[in-house]
Amino acid sequence: MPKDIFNSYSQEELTKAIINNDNVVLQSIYKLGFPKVQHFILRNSGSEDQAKDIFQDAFISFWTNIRSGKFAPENESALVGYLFQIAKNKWLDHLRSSKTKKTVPLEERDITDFPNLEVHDKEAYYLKIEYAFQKIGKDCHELLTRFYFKKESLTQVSRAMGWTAQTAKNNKYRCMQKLKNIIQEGEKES
Amino acid sequence: MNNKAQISSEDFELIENYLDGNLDSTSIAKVEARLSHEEDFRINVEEIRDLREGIQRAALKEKLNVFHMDIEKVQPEKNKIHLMYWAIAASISLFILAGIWWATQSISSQEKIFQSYYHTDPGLISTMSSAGDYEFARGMVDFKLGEYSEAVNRWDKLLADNPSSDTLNYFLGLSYLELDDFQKSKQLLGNVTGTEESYFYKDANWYLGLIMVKEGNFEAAIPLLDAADREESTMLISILEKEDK
Repeated sequence: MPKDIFNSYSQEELTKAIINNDNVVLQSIYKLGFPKVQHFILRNSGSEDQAKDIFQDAFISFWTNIRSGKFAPENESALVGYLFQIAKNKWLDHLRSSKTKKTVPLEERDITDFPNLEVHDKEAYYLKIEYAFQKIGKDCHELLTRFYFKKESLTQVSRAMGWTAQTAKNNKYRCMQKLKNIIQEGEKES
Repeated sequence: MNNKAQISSEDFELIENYLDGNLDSTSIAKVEARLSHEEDFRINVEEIRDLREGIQRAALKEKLNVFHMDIEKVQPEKNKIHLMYWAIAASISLFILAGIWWATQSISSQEKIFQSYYHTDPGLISTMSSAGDYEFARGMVDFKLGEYSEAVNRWDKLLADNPSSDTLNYFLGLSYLELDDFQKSKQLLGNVTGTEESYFYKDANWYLGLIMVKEGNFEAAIPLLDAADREESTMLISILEKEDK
């Protein structure tokens, strides 16, 4: 991945690319950001797996903050520095919490268990969505990914999936209902 | 977030358009009036907003695992380094065997040269540690089992989402090679040989060079085999140069 990809983006374009989940930009950030975080965590009592988990958690926070306007990246180094700072804080929090209480190691989290957490907690709700998203079936998974994550139009989605635009629209509604139902069933069981 | 109100398809579309900013001012005013007066409608709007956000997060997490798979290939694990020593030892043996073979054979065809030097890449150590990289890892299992069509089915879809992945280009290229689809294989391996910093740069050059050998295009094969920088490269290049005369 060319490092100078960022030189071709203005601040506004970079923010927009992240908001639009531009694959090339997101992957470039990942490749630039991970080695420094990995080095830090390995030097501070962490493992390879923990470095990956902490970095990915940090990446989600970083992406959320950019989309909500909490952080506006001026350039590549500000962006990677911000990501590193989030990851570093998360790792230090993890070390502190490990000292004060027994916690489930990061690598032992299992998304196949329905998250039995406080339902009013937004983060917990996102975990439930993540769980349901993995259970929703191939077509719905692809449709929802294309429409909401890749920001494809219904016309693009319908072409990719071999449907009419109307079918794609109907299926989007059905898939969202299905996602809701899986979440609600999980809440009843837990 | 329990007791969610049911939502009609019409309201769903209306809320989607509202959240996407696709409504005119009159429609926005109507939606906002309903938000003030209809508790179920307000709950539906909030729920759809959360679902949209949650889907993006879930999809991003899957994507991050694919990105990570690419990074892992650049940082070989210690046991992979041991495997590399074995691979080097095997290469030297192959080099010697190839020399003996060449000394005992009279005239060789391009196919014979290809068969002598071609060995399938052993693939990567896959862990299937998370749901996101499952498809890639599952494809790697297929690849190692020689189920190349299955691997192609899985990885082609991943490549569509991640066309710049050198790992996917490389292993898909090798899978197509195994399936005798040389054009497709050349195209995919060519994507990797164009990126010198790729971990697979040398190997991609090697296999692309071997395809050229198989096709009898020794002139194109030589620089690729040279860039592959393998133990066998020198011997093979000298064979090709002799054949070319």
